[in-house]
Amino acid sequence: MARSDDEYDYLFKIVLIGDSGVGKSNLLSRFTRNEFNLESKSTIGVEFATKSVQTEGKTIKAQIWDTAGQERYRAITSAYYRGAVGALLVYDISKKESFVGVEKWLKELRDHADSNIVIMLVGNKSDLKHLRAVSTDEGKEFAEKHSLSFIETSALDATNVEQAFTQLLTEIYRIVHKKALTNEKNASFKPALGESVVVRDPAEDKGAHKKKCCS
Amino acid sequence: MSSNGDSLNYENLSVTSLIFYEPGVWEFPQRKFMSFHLHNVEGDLAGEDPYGFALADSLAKMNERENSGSTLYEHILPKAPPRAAKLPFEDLNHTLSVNKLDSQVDEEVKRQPRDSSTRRVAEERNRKIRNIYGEERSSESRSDETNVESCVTISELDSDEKQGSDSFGCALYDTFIQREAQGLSPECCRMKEIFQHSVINIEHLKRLAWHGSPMLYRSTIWKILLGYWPIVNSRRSEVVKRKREDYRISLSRAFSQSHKSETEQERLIWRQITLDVPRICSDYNLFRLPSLQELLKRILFVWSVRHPACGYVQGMNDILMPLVYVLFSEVYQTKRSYSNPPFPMETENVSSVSIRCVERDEVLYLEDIDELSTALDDLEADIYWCFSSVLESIQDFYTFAQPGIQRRIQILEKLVGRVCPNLYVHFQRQGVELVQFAFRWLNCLLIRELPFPVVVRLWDSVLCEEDGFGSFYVFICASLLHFFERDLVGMEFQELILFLQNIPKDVWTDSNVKILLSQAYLWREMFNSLKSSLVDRI
Repeated sequence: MARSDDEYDYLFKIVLIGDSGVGKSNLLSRFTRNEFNLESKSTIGVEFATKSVQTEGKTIKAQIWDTAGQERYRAITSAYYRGAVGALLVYDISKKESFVGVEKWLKELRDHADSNIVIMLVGNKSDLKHLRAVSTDEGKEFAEKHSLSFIETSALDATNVEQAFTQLLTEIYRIVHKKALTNEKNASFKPALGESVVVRDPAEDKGAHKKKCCS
Repeated sequence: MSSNGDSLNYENLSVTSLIFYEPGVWEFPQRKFMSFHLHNVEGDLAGEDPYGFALADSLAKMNERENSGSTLYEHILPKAPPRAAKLPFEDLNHTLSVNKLDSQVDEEVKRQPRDSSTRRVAEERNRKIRNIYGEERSSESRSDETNVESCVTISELDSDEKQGSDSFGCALYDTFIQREAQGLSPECCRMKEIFQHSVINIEHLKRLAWHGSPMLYRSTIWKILLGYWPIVNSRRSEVVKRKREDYRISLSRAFSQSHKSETEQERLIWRQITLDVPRICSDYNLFRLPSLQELLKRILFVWSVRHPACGYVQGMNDILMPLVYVLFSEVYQTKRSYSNPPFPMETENVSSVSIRCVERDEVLYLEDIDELSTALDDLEADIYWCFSSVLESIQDFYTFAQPGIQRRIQILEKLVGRVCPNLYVHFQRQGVELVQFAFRWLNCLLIRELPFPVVVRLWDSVLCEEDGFGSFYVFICASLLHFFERDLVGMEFQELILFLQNIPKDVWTDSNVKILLSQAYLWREMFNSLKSSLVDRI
């Protein structure tokens, strides 16, 4: 935690979801600490990390909740979807099953998350070229069909990891920014320094996040 | 002390009354009592008296001396439950004091309140305790020598007898005797005495093992405390044989061709297990050995198949680790060469209260377990049954939506609200919910949070507690929060969560582990049991 982390313009809550073993935790550790561990422990419940990025002249702090992939934890993890403005839905390009599971995860988000949550589909382990079971086109197609953003990453060799997070955060920022501009005409809603913002209903979210983002 | 009797009385009253009052009465109308209590516990834990026994003693003395105002105490003192008087209190208290005294007394004095009269009293108290323990320490070392002597004689007498008795104890027994030549601590001697009876006195065993099982006996003690080994010696071989056979049958059923592909759920379980077992992240070689990982997979799968309501839940593999280590170390010990002890055997260390002993145990660094292959099948069955016994009381931790963990977290929250009110308020202000970190604490029984040797030591005590995993663990979690309270209250949301999800691992000396445990014990005694007090209030 660098001190510079304490100053930011926006604080966005992001969740990482997807089947067990697709590399969610490694994507996160690659992004936040530039670390990768082939034998990283399974995630229990939900684990937390944070990082700030610069985009379009603004500092955006991502508060990322990495969830356990196992079915049994669904009850616990789905509680964390509330208030999240972005989600990285991860599958493993070398495991067809994990791609099939994406549908189920989308339903989870529809059931528990805000309807305007920005979702990015992430095909991880792109370094495993010889084991590829899901083609890039399949992923792209699925993403387009469900109007999600799409990217393929490799936490192992760090390909596109930074981009995946930054792209998602930028997308959220743009929506929020646009929203704020429209709101400014009607009322005078303007996110204060470090204030958390939800895409759909800023007023409601302000209450929920106030405690967490006064730093 | 009598010169400032009033102020001391008042503090004493709060501590002792909170400890000894019946459950349910602890909730005093005046908040003041609670804060006094907290103040005392904090000071005393850091210093020489984790249970407030010195205070209780001085209270008793004052009670004798002063008749005025003694009515209250008379109500309080006789109410000390007999169990509390017998259990770890005095021994632990004493060890802690001796360990901590020299280094901490000075600090303690510095931290005393500014008020000069109070400080004078405190200084006097410290001096007295120092004298007492100074004397006791020297007398203890004398008694140690006599203890060892007497034990050697006992072992000589028994060496003939043991050959005829149960086959399972023999190998271990040999080890004990061989090790004895290298010097055995009084704890070991006392422990050995327990095993010599045809029926093991379980209460006696618990009293001793609570302070940390001696390494040599740990496996035996755990198996007994987990209810895997019967306490009647003569029944042991029969029961163990039957259980091992039972496991073998379950194993062959679970892995028979017809069964394995039977249900979708089992297929998923097997897939998850094979995914997780290699991910057991450990610095120790033992857990990385392919043949050991196969063993773990089998155990986890058989258990999950036999407990379909729970199935396999991530983190169960972590729970296997302490059991695997302890049971393996027993088998390995019988193969060790005693002319070359694996690590320098300091006499005090033989008792293995020390967590360093586990840390350095070469079992953890084994390169190959095939040399043990003759015993591996039996060992696997033993580990299975111990694992099964650990999970027995906490099955609701792992059923759908994990209600057991949720409920324990609610209890923990109430507990923290009572015993660490400042921290509780701080959490609320920062928007920290206990589930955000305590979920994993409980799901993996703190195995992810504490260094492995510390977990092993922790389990020594937990296994002695009634419903240790289901309820005592909640107190340990509270104690863990209390341990870091001073750091935590200065942190903001993000820092708090990151800290609580990655608790520093380098702070755990033997005495800190004792502080952690004794604080949990104290609160457990205070609240008596979850069933009778906290749970009803939810």
